[in-house]
Amino acid sequence: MKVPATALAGETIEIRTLLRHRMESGERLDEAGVRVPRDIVNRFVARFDGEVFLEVELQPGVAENPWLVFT
Amino acid sequence: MNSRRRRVLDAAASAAFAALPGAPAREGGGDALALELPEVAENGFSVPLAFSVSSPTSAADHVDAVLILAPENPHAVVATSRLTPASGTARAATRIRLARTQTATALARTSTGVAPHDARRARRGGRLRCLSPRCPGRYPSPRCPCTRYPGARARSRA
Repeated sequence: MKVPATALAGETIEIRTLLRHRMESGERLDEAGVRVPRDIVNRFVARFDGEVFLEVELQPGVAENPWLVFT
Repeated sequence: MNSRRRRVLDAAASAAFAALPGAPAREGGGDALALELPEVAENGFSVPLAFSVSSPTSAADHVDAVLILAPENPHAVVATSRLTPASGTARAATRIRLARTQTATALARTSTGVAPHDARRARRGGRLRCLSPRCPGRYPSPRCPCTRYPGARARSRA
């Protein structure tokens, strides 16, 4: 996670997050032709002072190691 | 986009919004959504995508939800975001998977019930193969286990 080192009260800041996760889609077949089970990050919640300001539901279409930038 | 695909997309979008609590979305209004997607995605496993909605982001008028759709993917809904007035701006960026060349759509819903949207076409470029020994090398191929959906094991061939 990366945030600006300093921010004024009321200022809008950009937050960058990187999760290390393979986000296995559940659509791929392994070498034996067996479907690889889905294993993804489902939900990402960001809070400020305990108040949720962003809630993302991720689906298999999000690339592996999900990278999210928001303000 | 042909009319059938448009209808399917509209149905998917309204169904997806129907699953979310809040006011039903309607078309039009002053808010504009800008979607950023590369014209050529060299690596379909990781395509940068960004959206921004021009919105005052106040308690009375803010972006409530944003849907990202890639209709040619096995799962058309890529991500659903819920935003609140506490968000600084209605802007975000991430990386998505694109199974093939297609037009991705971002669809927002504001607290006033307006639904701005934008679509961008991204061509799947580059040559990709997965690391499986059964992969014939050229993506996509019915013989390749990675063909059904881009996954973690594929790498771009330089």
